[in-house]
Formats: sequence, C-alpha cells, structure tokens
Amino acid sequence: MHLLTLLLLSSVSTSTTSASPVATSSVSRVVHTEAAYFSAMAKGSSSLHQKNYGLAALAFEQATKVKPQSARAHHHLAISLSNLNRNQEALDALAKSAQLGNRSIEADELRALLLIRENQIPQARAELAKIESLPSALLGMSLNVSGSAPALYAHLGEVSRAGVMTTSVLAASAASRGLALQAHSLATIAQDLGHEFNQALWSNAMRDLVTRINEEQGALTMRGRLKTTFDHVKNPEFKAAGQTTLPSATRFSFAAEAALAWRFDTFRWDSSVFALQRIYLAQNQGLSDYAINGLVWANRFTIPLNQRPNATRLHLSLRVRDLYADNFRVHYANNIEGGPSLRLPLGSSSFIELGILGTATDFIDRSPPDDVVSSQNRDLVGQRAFIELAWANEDLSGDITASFLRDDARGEAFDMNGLSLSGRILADLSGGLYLRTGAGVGLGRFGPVGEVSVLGAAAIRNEFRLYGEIAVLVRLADWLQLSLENHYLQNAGRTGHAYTDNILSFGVEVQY
Amino acid sequence: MLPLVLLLAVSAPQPVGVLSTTKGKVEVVQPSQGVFRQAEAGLLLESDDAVATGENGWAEIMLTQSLTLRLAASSELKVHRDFLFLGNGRVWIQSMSSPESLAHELRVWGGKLAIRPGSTLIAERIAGRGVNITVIRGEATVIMKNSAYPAQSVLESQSYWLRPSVVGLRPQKSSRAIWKILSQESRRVLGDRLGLEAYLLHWVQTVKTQFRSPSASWEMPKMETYIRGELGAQFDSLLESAVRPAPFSENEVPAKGPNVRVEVSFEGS
Repeated sequence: MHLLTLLLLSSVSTSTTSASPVATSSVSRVVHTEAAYFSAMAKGSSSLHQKNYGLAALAFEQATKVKPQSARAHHHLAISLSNLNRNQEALDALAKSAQLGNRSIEADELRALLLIRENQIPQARAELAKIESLPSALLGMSLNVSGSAPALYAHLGEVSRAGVMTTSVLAASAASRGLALQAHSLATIAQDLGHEFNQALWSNAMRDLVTRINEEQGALTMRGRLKTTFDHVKNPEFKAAGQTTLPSATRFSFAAEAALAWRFDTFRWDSSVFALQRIYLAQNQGLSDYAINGLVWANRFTIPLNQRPNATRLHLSLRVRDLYADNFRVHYANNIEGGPSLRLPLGSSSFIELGILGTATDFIDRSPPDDVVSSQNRDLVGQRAFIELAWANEDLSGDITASFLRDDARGEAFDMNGLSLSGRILADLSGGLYLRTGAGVGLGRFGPVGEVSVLGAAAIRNEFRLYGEIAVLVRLADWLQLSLENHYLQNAGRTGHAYTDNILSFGVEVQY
Repeated sequence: MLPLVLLLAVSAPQPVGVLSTTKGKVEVVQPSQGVFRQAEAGLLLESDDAVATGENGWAEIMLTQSLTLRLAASSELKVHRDFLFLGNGRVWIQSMSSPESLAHELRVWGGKLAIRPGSTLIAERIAGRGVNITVIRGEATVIMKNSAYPAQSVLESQSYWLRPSVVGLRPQKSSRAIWKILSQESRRVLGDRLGLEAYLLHWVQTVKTQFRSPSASWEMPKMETYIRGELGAQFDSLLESAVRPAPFSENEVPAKGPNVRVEVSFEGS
C-alpha cells in the first residue's frame, strides 16, 4: 500500500512538475467530470434495465448536463423518455444526439417508433426504408411498407424468440390484408413456437388471432346482396348509326347474388350465383328482346403456393352464363369460360396477375334473334390471355389490364383477334363517399372471310371500341350503398356498324 | 495544504469508462490489483483495465468519446485511454462520436483497426483463423502488422478476415449473420428497452382484420373483353354478340361457296 501511494505520488509529481496551478485545477475538473458522467450513465443504464424509466431519465439528463456534447447521453435520454411516452421530448433528444454524431441503427429504429406513435406515418415509413434490421422490418410490416417482408422470411418459423415475433407479425399482417389462409396457418405456427419458448404473451396473442379468424372467416362464410338500378339507356337495341332505333329508353334492373367462400386447410373455394332481370318501362313490347334475364354461376379456387403472406396464389376459375330475354321466352346464348391465373404479389399492397382463359359460347339455334342476325353460325371457342396490375392503398385502389382475345367461330365472319387495355380507379373520398372511374380501349379484327389473297383488305373488318365510366358511390352503412353511374361505349366500325350507347343509372344496393 | 489537496485530486485515477450492464460471469483485472475479480454494473474502468467474460457472461461498456462496447461470452478486452485491445472472443463496437473526432483504435492479434467515428462494427477473434471484422455502419480501416500491404478499408455491410499469415484478402459482402446473433444476445440481456416489442405485441393483438368476403361473380374470372360496369360486364357483351349482325354484310359473306366472282367478257360482243 505504501508502495502504491509512493508510486501514485511520484506519478502525480512527475506529471505536474511543469503544470501550472490552473492546469492542475483543469485536470481535476476533467477527472471529476468523467467520473460524474460515467456514474450518471451507469445509474441510468441500471434504472433502464430495471424499467424504472423516470429515474433513468433523470440520470441521463444529469449526464447530458455534465457532458452536453455526449451523443450517447442524449440517445439514452431519448430511450427513457420514449418509455415514459414523452414522445416529442424523446424525438428532440434524438435529434440532438444525431446532431452530435449518433448514426446508430438503434436511434433510427427508435425514431421510427416515435414517429409511428405520433401518427407521422409517412415520415416513419421513410425512416424505416433507410434501416436494415429485424426490428425495422417488423415495424415496416405493421405499416405495410413494401419490401419489409423478404427480410423477415429468414426468421419465419425459426425456433427462436425472433422467430416467434416474426411469425406472429407476419400472421397479423396477413390478417390485416384479408389473407385468411396464410394468417391462420402462420398464427398456428407462431402459437406453437410461443409455447415452446415460453413466450406466453405472444402465444396468447396468436391464439386470439386464430379465434378471430375462425369467428370472422370461419370454414364457411356467406354473402348476399340485392341491387336495383334505374337506368336511362341510349340506343338500347345496339343499332348502328343511321339505322332506325329508339333513341333512348328507361328500365329497371334487379340483380340478386348469393355467394359463399369455403376455407379449407390450404385453399379456398369461392362460389357465387347471380341473377339479373331487366324491365323496360315504356315500349316494353318493342324492347322485349332486350329485357334480359341472365344467370351466372361462378367459381374460383385459390391456392397459395406457400405460407408466406405475400405468397404467389394460383387461381382456377370457372364461370357459366346463360342469357335469356322476355321472361325466358327468348334464349340467346350460354357461355362457359375459365382457366388458371397466377397472382404475383409486388409488395404488400399490389400484385400482378397473369392468366390464360378459355371461353366457349353457344348461340342458341332457332331462337328468333339467331335467325335474323346472320346466316353464319356464331358459336365460338376462344382464348383470353391477360396481365393485370392492381394496387390497393388506404385511399386509392385500381387496376390496369391488358388482354389478348381470340374467337374462333364456326362462321368465319365472326372470327376475331383483338387486343384491349382497360383501367379502373376507386378513390375513397372519406365519409363513406367513393369515386370510381375507368376507361378502356379495344381493337378487334374480324375475319378473314374467303380468300385473303383474292379479296385483300375486304376480307377483314376492324372495329375500335372506346369505353369510359364514372361513378359516385355513397356508403350509408355497411349494408347499404347508393350509386350514380354513367357508362359510355363507342364502337367505331365501318359504315352501318358504328354505334354508341350510354347508360346513366342510379342504384341502391343492400348487402348481407 | 492546498497543494496537497490538489495533488490528491489529480492523483485520483481518471475513469475511461464504466461497466453499464453485466450478465453472468464478468471479471475485471486492474493493474493496480493484479487479479481478476467479479465485476458488477456501475464499476468505473480505468486505463489498462481488462474485462473478461465467462462462458455465460455478457457485458456492456461505455467508454469516453461516446464509444459503447458489448462483449460476448468468453471474451477478453483491454481498455486503454487511447486504444482497445481484443485479446479473445467477440466485441460489438458502436461509436456515437461526431465525424470530426479522431478515429478509435482497436488492436487485435496481427494488426489494428482504425474505426471511423459514427461507425458500428463487430470484431471476433477465432483462434487459429484470425480476426473477422464486420462493419454494420460506417467504415473501418485494417492495418496489418509487419506487412508491406497497404491499409484495407472495410465499408458498410462488408466483412473482412484479418489473418497474420495471409495477405491480400479483400473485403466480402457480409451476410450479417453475426450481427443478427449479437442483436439477439443484446435483446436477451437488455430486454425491450426501446419498447419495440411492446408496440408490435399491441399491434398484433389489436390488428384490424379485413377478411375478404366471398368473391362476386363478376370477379371470377376477373376478365372481360371490355369493362362495362359490374352488371353490364357479365351480360351486355354477350347480348351484344347475340343481337348484332356480323361485321360483314350478308352479300359479302355467302352462306356457302367461294368468295370468287369470275367475269368473262368477249371482245367485240
């Protein structure tokens, strides 16, 4: 001990022989400052660890006073204030820390969390986009940040605490986006993992989520709706320009639909029966052939190709349509169409769907309209190939579809190859008010009839179609909706075949 | 008397850091003491102190210049006023210094690292293989001992092996696997101090589910020749096909026979 004292004294005397009293005082202050700073930091850390956030905040605040230039002290103060829900003060402390050189990932994560709490969602999303870490990806999933999910897949189902959290968050994300199959599957996995790792809170949360899924989206869910529209129709007979026709007519349309979705373990079956009845209010004798009765039975199987919330989904669709008129006295046609399509997610809120469908239409022989339309048989078998880009955000959703169409009819005059491009947007104007608008263009090439080498251009006919719609929807309640819609169609064919029609309709829809 | 007080004040060792959090077996050896002794959180560290963690040990150390270290199990680190020395094991280093500050120095077997202020990195010494450096953020420069090769810069998201017996290695893109392991270790010890897990758990518990209703018939298949509204899409195109004449006139398309007309004219007749 004596030796130590001697050593210390000699050391001090050596180091201070040339030092002035002022310098000695300065050194002393530095020693004191450092000790006070580290003591405050240690006390703050200990309090933080013990979740005594008030005491931690006081200690770190003390540390910032002792060393105002310490980025770390401000950083820890921000953590303490965040846990006290003093979000704005925490953001200020973080800003100060960043100003002093703090570029840590933890600081970015905390900033994102504080911005979420302060409901500054766009800023939080921007912050999260800069960070590559598991917590940031999890936070991103809670905000539907596109690109967050891939970073989490490595932890999906992982036998670890991170695996429990990740799988749970992915399950909740799937549930928030209506993906019941994936949500149910992931929540079950997360629940088991939670049990295994004694993460009771997470496990219970997943158990509750499974219960909610079963309650809200049980094995069998049903939906019914009735829709009535009052329509003002121009050119109800689809007559070409120059031909004698009724310029306009008014009608009622009644539509009823019953649909069900049956969720199996790994896939889902949607099925729907739809019926439409139209009644013309005036000249109902002359328009009886256009007072249609339509029936549809549609089906779709959805098969996710894996358990991820953003899994590619395979759809198999089949739809059968039967078209009558004049209270089923005229039978126009029946049609069957269907095929596979693949839905590829592009993030959490958009996807691309690719599909190839087959279609077959049988125009009923010997029904009156068939006799007058053409001497050629119009029955056709066709193919459709399409690509659709769709997105859905909180306020705006829409889709754009490009298609290739081919009809191979028995009568060559009805053979057709065509292309179409259409798009539609639905905007949520808030307060239950929605605006929908859409447009489409199509080009169809009919024929060739006879020998092209002989007839040349006369062997084919081109038709260009332009379509536009605008609708205002008012959702008065979950079960009641009013609509005001206008649909316009212009068909630019050759003389005698060009026509336009327009439908203005007001509708009421009731849903169950 | 005053000079003596001043001398005593100056003689008090200046701390260079503090053990802010410990878990499991954490020991400190101070040159003045000469033996390892169990350390608790809150212990002030002086220059030349060494910290060693046991097989289940973990320690967080706060040093001057806003430098924070996390020492994994079975690691040894010496702290000096001007540099750090990693004797064994794995250390996570985070600098919150301003860019204008001097680079921090980490000495390892076979060389040393100059850590740019504001950086975060992990250094791990694996006996027999050398030292692996993974830069999470910022940049570090590796300077090999006794080598004529120039200093090697390791950038963000890169990993580098420092092997005294091998020269000329290049940094590789890091999988960040080691970082994920360290993050999990830290979370185990420090808990959810940011409140992220609490937020996520609350979100999971209260997330608003939006399960899709059974699809409507017009969506299955969601494919129409031309969009014509929900009701029209299903029937109007079919009706139009049923009632509209062919795009060709009937005389253009005879029901049977070829579309060839042969005209013969005789000269002079």
